[in-house]
Amino acid sequence: MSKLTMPYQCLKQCGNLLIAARGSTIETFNLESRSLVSSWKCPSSKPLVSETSAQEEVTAVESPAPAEAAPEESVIPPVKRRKLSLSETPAEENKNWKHNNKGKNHRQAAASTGLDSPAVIALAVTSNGHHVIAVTSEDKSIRVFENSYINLKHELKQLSQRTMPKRPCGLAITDDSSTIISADKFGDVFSLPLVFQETPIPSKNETPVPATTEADSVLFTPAANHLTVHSVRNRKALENQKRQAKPKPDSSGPEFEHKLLLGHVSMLTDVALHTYNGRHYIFTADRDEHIRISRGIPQAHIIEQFCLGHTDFVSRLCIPSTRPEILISGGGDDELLVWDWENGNLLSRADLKGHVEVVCHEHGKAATDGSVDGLKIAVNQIEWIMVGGEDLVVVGYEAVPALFVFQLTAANTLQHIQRIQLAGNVLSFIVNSEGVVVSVDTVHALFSSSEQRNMAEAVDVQPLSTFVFEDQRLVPGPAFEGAEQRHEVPAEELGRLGALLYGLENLRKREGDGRDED
Amino acid sequence: MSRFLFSKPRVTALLCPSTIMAGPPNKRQKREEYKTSQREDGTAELPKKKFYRQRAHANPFSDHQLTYPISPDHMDWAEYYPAFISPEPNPVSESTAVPAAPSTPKKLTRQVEVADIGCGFGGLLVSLAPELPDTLLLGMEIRAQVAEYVQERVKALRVQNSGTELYQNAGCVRANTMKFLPNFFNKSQLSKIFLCFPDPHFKARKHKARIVSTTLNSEYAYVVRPGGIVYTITDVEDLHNWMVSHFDAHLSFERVSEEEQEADKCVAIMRTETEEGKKVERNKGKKFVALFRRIENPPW
Repeated sequence: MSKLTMPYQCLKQCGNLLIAARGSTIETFNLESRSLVSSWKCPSSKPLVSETSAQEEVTAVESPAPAEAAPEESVIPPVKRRKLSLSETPAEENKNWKHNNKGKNHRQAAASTGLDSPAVIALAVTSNGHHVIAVTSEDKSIRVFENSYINLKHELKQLSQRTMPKRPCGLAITDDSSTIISADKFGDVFSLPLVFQETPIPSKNETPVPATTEADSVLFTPAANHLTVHSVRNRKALENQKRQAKPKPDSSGPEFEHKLLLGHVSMLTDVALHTYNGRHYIFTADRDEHIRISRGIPQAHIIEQFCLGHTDFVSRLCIPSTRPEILISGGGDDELLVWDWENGNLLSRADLKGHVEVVCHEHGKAATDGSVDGLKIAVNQIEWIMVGGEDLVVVGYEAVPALFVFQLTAANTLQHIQRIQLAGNVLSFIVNSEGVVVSVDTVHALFSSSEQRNMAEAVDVQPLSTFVFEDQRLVPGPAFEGAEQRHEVPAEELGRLGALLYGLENLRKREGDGRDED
Repeated sequence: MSRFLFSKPRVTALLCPSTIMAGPPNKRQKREEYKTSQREDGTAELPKKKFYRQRAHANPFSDHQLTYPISPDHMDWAEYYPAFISPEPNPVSESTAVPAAPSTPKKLTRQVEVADIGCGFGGLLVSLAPELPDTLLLGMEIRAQVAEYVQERVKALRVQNSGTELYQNAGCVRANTMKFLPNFFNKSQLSKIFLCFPDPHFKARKHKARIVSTTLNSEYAYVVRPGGIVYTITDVEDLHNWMVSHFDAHLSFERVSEEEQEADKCVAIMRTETEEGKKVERNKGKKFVALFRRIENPPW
């Protein structure tokens, strides 16, 4: 019955290849012939009966990097384990979640809807085009692929899979194609070598624990003592703690080479690397409205500047190559902001909401949609391109069936020049001097991140649409072959798909969230 | 100083029925009554701590309902340091109480230079203020009730000392500095930061919530000018070692020598005048002090 085409959640260009992530599959298209050349599927990891066994299975299948299998179990923090023990089976977990429906933990719900493979949530390519890097969501892994050609047939060959301590949200690759920069949910930015080396780094765990033979050393030594805790109850707790056995030493991180560069006390949303006047910079954006400019490796601990002006989360950063001195940022605000990032000065603002409202209006949708606060928009992608001597900036929004083209003027303001209507919500797009390839949501209704679209109209919607530049204006281009294959989307996966495709609105702070316990 | 060694959900569950029935409404009511009477009087009487008590822990990762400036330039310091409002610009808007355009706050004659992060009930702040009369001091506290107490305390002290400049240079904001420190201060604005008796977060799982970490130290390095000093004191040796190792590991800081540390008058005040310091004294606990100097950024 359900013959919905699975949409692409993430697109990237790599040379003349289009890398397109579709659920847990990565498909590769030739941009010139617009045809499918290869496909890679993330190995199944079975529903979470026990997370550890599922992960072992993955690595067993994946064996190019066997050394990683061991740390995975220890990587899982105790918090996680506790959560799992609450509900042994996925079904039960689902039930639990529904019962105490706080509307909070979408991820947990997503994990329990019978998904069998981790989905790809971010893609990056090296500047030399040799490698593709993907983040798979549920197993928090960074996977590195090589564009390999066997008998002239393209194939994405997985070289390594590394499980990060927290789920990466943003990826960047250094210009020399040697280092991956990963920004995660927990606010930390790590660097790791692109090429995973088997030679294990001198592990923290192997540093010999001072071999004490005294009997009392098996007992736990609490950090608190009778001088630092005073209440009766805490004193009692301390006495109990002293009788406890020493916990097994926890390994504190993954065992492959990685380095903590910097961190926010907030969820990171995007990371960008930039070189200006011969200096390297790391730009990071977070959910708490900050854009931070740090020095590049090896001085990433030095913060050079903050760009403060957003009043809601920041979701995307874009630095035009022709104007390395400016930064364009967008997020949950009604405007795009243009910065003189070196001095943290705001140069201009460009209204977005008005343009989105026009699209709403054309589709006969009330802009307010019954909600009190009116229309909320969230930028999901900003791309710059130079066409015919003009700087153009293409912007996409979450759950909006249109792309917006702005011209970056000489005065560093953004002027709206074109609006492209699409048959479905924009999920991701790539821009090059030829034109635009955009991924369209085939499953969800226009303007909705949860509602399924009308079956009759859904059949005709192509998951990939192309547009080409003609005198700096985009006009419809030829279609892609091979993208229209019917990948069925089972009804029970719709919830999970919604969470995968539309995550930004969850970043918005809600009234009454985290209220004071007063 | 209620510190969690174990989570105690069961105990609180047992306590719940009684607290729901009798506790909070009564307490809240009394608190409200007290505060309205205080407001009416506007007197020199110091606020009573018992009406401002709040659970000693706040989750720094939660959103709370914080108000914070979009950027340091948006911060209106005038209400915190009315004696330091610069007389020159926009003298017209003086009369109306409503700040017409929040984007152009009144200028002060000087900037805040000392921040007491996690100032608690403000003991250090009010002891330090007369010692550094030419410097603006800001207490920052995440617990709303406690921050309000310090604000009232400063107000009362100003009234008590009216006619003098005393305590005009002290202020307090409610803030989560772990998230929003750069929203309050520009690069290199501060000369001193105090981190006094921070929440030790004993459990390894909670270490990320500690006020000192390699990644947060970068933010302290951003707001503190080269030569500026970060003061730390705690009664928990484990936390002291943690803070020392994390500041030592950060290339923007160096440890201040013992002699120099003991010669600093702020150290003595920090030892004896903070509420926690007094409490540790009473319980005959140890106090561990460490100071770190912000060094110049290397060329690049």
